[in-house]
Amino acid sequence: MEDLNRIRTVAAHYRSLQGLRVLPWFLWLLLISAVNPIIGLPQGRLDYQCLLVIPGIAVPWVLSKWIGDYYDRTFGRVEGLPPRNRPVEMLTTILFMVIAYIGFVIDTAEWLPISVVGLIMAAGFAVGWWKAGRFPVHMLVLAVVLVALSVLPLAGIPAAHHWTDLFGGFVISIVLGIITSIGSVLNHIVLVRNLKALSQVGS
Amino acid sequence: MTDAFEALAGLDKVVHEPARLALLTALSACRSADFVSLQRLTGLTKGNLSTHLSKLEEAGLVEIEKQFVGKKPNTLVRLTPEGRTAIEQHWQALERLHRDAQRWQSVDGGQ
Repeated sequence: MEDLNRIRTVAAHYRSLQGLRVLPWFLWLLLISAVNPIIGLPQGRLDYQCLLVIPGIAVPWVLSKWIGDYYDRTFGRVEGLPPRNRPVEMLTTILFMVIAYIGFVIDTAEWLPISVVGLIMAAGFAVGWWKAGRFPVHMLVLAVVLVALSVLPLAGIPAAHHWTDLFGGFVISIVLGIITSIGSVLNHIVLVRNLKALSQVGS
Repeated sequence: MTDAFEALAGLDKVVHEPARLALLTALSACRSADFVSLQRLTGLTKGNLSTHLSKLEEAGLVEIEKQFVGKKPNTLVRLTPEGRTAIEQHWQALERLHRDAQRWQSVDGGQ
């Protein structure tokens, strides 16, 4: 019965557990966030940034497609069940994006010493974990880590007035890039481990 | 306890066979799955998987669609509405039996 439950859970989350599919995008976010302040692109000169960022999108896109083909060949394709209530799902996603944008505005305005975007993303991870049937435990762990990092300035760590004082405001994207990259690798490990265990049961 | 044995005897043999139960369970959690993913999820060999899928198709519980993805052949499997109902009812029956078995254990333990 336990193995059947495992089969059901892995089949239901087959696509989302293929974490390496999205890894190039998270690494790209990390790279852009880390490189931008180091190179010191002129602030407010969007044309310079666009020149670097827009052609750069092709790299994670190609990598992501290549990894997707690898997953399809090696792990096969599973099409998930449609959401029970599509309009509600869409509305929730739009609402989350609006709230994240408001969080970003609050963060850049430096009204609060904490990172609002970080807390919103942590809530996203926690909801994702809950909706996935409380299955990939590392999603919850990442949410907790993100909360801890977001409120660190309250404890005087890092030694700055606000997150945005570090790396010209890119620190939260760097942290998010690292955490989401770790999350996607862990998803892949969870998938491989479960499939290995199931193959032993089947044989 | 006789009721439980009757319930056990009444389980659909096509569904209750372990490999087929695993296949139907996997398919109940998604809209469709291809041959490779079902092989990975159940750990069955290609030959065994083909045999069990054929039996499930004969019983009208799954539908199998052969297609090409690029230049490669791909076998897509999905539950029929009858298959979805059958596996849901089977799981309910199994859970009922599981609860009954736990109740007997607690009664035996108390004596």
